[in-house]
Amino acid sequence: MADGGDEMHLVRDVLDKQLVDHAGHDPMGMADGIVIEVRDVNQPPRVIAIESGFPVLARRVSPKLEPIVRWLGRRLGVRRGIVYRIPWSRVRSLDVEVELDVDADRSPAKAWEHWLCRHVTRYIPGSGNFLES
Amino acid sequence: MKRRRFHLELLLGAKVIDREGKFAGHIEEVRAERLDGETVVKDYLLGRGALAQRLSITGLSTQAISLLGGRNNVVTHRVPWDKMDLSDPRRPRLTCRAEEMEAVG
Repeated sequence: MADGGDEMHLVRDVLDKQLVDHAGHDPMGMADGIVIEVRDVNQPPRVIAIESGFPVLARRVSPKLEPIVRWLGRRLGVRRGIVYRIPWSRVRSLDVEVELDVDADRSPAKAWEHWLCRHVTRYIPGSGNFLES
Repeated sequence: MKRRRFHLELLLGAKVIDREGKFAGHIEEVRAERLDGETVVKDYLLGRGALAQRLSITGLSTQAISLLGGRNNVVTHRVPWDKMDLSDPRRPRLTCRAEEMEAVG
């Protein structure tokens, strides 16, 4: 995104919006959290990242829930309870969706889709081998 | 000053008190802008007006409140970033008095 005083409403325009990659507009989960950095007293706080993942959602419900969801994720989850953090510099545009300068297929955001393809979908007759196509 | 990070989503709805300990409102929206290649926080919006704006129901909610006989008082207050003390993000404080906040909208 370019400079030029573009004003954005972080809650209305970013939080809980669909994240998509720039190549094929592939969905990559939701913007569940936004990380802000407070710096020197003379400098405004800086937006540094968008976070996505169940632990972030759990923290919003109750901070006490976050470690429980992380623990469950480590034991059962494909992403091992790790929160996917996207640097704000990778945000290309804000519209109905948040477009990122990221390849969805190479990001951890699609870990569940890849797991399902490897362990479930490929065994369904007629589905073809999605991973090798 | 040591750099600290906090999660904006946890700031949403947080009760803000002013320099004198008086209630100023709840944080409902955070506005940002591009500056020198960075995205920085410009100001915080407090009040029911900001909530209605965030939920995109400004017109609807004011009409509904009027129909129900309520006071149509959906004011938004704007707090510039340098007037908000976030040393404890769970307890944001104004560095000025609540009366000094600018009403917008």
